[in-house]
Amino acid sequence: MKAVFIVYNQALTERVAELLDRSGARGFTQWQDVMGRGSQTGEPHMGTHTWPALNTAVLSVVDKDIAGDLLRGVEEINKTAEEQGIRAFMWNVEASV
Amino acid sequence: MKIYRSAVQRPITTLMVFVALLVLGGYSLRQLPIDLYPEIEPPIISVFTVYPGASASDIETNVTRPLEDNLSMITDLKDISSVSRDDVSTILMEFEFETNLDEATNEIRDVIDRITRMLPEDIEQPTIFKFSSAMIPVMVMAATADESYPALAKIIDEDVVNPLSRIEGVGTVNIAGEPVREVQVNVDPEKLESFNMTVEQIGGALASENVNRPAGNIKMGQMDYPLRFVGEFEESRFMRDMVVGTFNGAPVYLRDVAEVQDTLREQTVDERLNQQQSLRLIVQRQSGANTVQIANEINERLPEIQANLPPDVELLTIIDLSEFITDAVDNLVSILYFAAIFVTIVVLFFIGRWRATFIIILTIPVSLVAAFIYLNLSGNTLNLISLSSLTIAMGMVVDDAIVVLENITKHTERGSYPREASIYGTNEVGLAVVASTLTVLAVFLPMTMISGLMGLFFRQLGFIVAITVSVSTLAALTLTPMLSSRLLAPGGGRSAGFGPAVTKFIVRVLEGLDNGYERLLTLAVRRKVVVIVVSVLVFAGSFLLMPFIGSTFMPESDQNRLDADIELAIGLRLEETTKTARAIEQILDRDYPEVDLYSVGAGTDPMGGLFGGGGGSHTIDLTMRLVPRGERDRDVWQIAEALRQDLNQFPEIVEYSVSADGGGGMGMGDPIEVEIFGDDFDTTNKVADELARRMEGIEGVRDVAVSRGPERPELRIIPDQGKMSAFGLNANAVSQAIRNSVEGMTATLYREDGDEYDVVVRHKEAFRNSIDHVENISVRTPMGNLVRVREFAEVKEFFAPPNIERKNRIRYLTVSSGLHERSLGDVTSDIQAELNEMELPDGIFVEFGGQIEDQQEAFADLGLLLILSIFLVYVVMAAQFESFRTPFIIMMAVPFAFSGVIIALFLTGTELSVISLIGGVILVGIVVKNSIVLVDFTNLMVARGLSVVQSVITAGKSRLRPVLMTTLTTVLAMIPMVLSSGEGAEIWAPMAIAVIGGLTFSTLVTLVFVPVIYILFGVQKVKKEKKKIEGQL
Repeated sequence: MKAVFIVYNQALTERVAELLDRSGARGFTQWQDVMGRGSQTGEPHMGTHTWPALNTAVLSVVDKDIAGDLLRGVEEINKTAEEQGIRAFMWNVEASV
Repeated sequence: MKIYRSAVQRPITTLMVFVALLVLGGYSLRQLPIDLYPEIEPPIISVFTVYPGASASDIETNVTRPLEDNLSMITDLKDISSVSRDDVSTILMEFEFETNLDEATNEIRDVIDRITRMLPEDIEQPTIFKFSSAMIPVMVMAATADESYPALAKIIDEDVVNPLSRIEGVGTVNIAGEPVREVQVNVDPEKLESFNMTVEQIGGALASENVNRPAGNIKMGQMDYPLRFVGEFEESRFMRDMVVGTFNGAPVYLRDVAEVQDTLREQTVDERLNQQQSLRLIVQRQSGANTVQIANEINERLPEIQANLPPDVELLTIIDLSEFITDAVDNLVSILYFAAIFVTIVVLFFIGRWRATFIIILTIPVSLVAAFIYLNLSGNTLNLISLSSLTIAMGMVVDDAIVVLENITKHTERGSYPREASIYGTNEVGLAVVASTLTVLAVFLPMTMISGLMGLFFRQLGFIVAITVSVSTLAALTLTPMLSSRLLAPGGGRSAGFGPAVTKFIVRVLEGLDNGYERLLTLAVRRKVVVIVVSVLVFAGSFLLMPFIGSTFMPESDQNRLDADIELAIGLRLEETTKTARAIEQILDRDYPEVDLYSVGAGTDPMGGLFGGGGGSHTIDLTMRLVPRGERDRDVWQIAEALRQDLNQFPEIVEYSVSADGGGGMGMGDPIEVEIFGDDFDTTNKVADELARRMEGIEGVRDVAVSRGPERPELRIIPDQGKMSAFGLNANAVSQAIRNSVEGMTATLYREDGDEYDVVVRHKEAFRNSIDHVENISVRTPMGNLVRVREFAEVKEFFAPPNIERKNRIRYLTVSSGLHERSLGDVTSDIQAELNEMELPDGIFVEFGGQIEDQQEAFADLGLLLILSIFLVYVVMAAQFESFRTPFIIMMAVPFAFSGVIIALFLTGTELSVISLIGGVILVGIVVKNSIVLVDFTNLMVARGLSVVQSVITAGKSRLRPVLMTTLTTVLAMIPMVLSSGEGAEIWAPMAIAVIGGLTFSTLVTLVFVPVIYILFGVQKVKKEKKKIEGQL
């Protein structure tokens, strides 16, 4: 089992939701209106007057295959909409109940 | 949940809300009546008091002054003025605008009730008269006839007045100059005397002969018959065979002493239309009824009415107030369409995509119909003010939608789905959009609170712009994102629909603009001092143009109508006046092809008597209807000037005034009225004559008139009391006898076909045309003898004292004039200079009234409004930016707007009027909006970590297009207003000129000057912060 954390400009919400469905990732947790900024480039998304954009974050714990699909999907989205900002991080899930 | 999210997620609801708005607006538009101006009720109440037989000065002392003293205490009274003339006192009370006149009337009634006891016993009860805009005639028609002329009054009364009166909203239909049938018994006083009879006897005999009387009932058999004595004349000619008395035992017949003529009353007025004898029909509306609706209805009925008239009777319209209104409104509506087209072109040019343009343009109808709903609910009309307000709003309502759509496009270009982009794109700019709307509201809402005459204008403007702009913001936050989510294609770029060449060209132009501006800005930033010095010089320099700009109250408009009042030597008889009138008719016919119809009235119009107007048998009143503006070379002022030249050729004309204002709406006074206050008649007369003489020498002054007319000659019969009593006569009996002989005695009424005609007994014309004849009038003494007037009285020629006018309880008179091709402000200062040269005697002071006074009041109101708007805009922005500094930088754009107004007025030769000042006030809101866009974005760049200079340049380059776009939409929306030459164009053009000039100039300056100021303040700020840090260390 892998945990995939996707954080993205909320303007991409629909594309990510679509990606989750397409990849068969049923379970997920979503946080709306979260703030953040990228490490290298990428505008800060702070929801302020200066940086009006905001992020949404999704954490989905899925099988390894699905996790791979998700990462590929995110990469694809990032290619078409690089300026909007989307990142995905994956790590192992030790245990679950 | 955010409003734009719901709007995008529930597109049908959103659509339906706006469809409902459109339908309601369309419905309201259908319901809206059309008018020239918002309904203005003149706040004037007058009190007429008749005191028969009193001279002007008696009236002043005994009636006018006590009334004035008590009436001046009434609440909200602004000015009280009065005219005391022989027999009548007229008091005119002017209230503040929007005073409750019903309450005022009640108060006046109370005052009059209270002081009637203190007034002379013989006065008639004072009558209170409320002026109303409904008194301005909606239509004036003339009826001409050949053979039917003697019966014209009756024909018109039955076949025209009656059907017209039945039309809803028509108040009264009056006939002026109508021939009135009258049975005249013209007595030969010599014969009368030889039979030892008097006029009164003849009258008495006629009255007692012409009697019908019920005489009780008679019961006969089973029936009960009412009994009637029928002695009335069946035909007027039977009168002549009536016995009026006996002399030496023989009966004296009426034919022995008099001629009986069934004829028309001797007229006090001679009415002609295009040289044909005519009578005038004056149609007034009911208070609150709509001029255009009534006129339309009348015009619809006219063919039918005309068909029922005898073939030689013709009805012609001299004045139709609705024509100008309809034309002016139609013209403005077409201007509105042109404005919409221009705005569309600008948006398309900058955005470059059909769908996006469509989405933006859709906010125009949606917001404008909201104004119709407001107008309908508040009972207003579609008038010049509301329509020009809509034109102003037109360029502003698209601004919010543009900002929102631009941001949404930015997101789709970056790869979002249109749906998401719509929600989040709107979210990002939502606050900024609302904020800029607030600044606009800060300018326009205070306008709704102005009182007075200006308030009536500004209220609609303020409300309409506030409402449309608010609705446009709402639409930008809901309709625009909803439509964007549905209609916009993912991705971006200009549509190729125009052909690649055109697209390429536009893109090149826009990019060229961006780069050019960037270079300019970089240069400006390096040469800050130069920029500031040049800007300040331009600003100061523009104010040096001020003296070259004339000022006036309201722009004049060519209403296809010309009126002239002409006075001949005072006391001239009607026949002589008529000769001059005929000569003027000849000139009109020969030299004035522009005159379509003219109606000439000589003598006093009986209708005019109500207003106590100067008139008399020596006056001529001329009304001309011109062919439409497009079909003639000379405008109405040139024609007026030509007419003045022609009138100067008549030596018999003492005074005349030619006016072209048409009296369409405002009821403004003469352009120039100089009021001279002072108690002594001779001194004030001298001052007035001197001033009038000097004013005639001033360039551009026309039709100078002194209100206190020349003294009028009159014949007075002065009895010798002793002789009169010796004959046993009293003044009452004598005066009555003289009156009966000259003016005539209405002895009885002659009835025919249900109509009644006066039977008037008096001396023959040949026996009442000299002083001798008056002295020969015989009066019967109580002893039964006849005595001639000359035996106890003498007839002398006197000059009657002038009318006594008072204002605010001080005697005064006015010297008034019209203008030709010079501005009110310039002429006023010339007059002021003349006044300074004249040495005013002690106790005399001078004030300016008329339009000068109105102008000064209005300008003061507007000045205050301007300051208030600027302050409020600052307040709103300071709160918005949480800063004292930023709004200050932003408002640097405002002074240059005023420079632009001055330059534009100077270049176009437009006068500074109330209308162009309105443009100035509006500018505060529009100009600041541009500056906000620029400064806000610069702030953003600074906050994002760029240096101040970098921020200024980046922001400038990025905001150039939106700034140019909003400026161009507003400017282009107004250009049709300036270019139009149709009816009423003169009225609103100055406002458009002011806005275009101010906005263009301030935008150009703002784009360079504001960034420089920003840097200066920014540097200041950086230094301060540095100091702070150093201080902490």
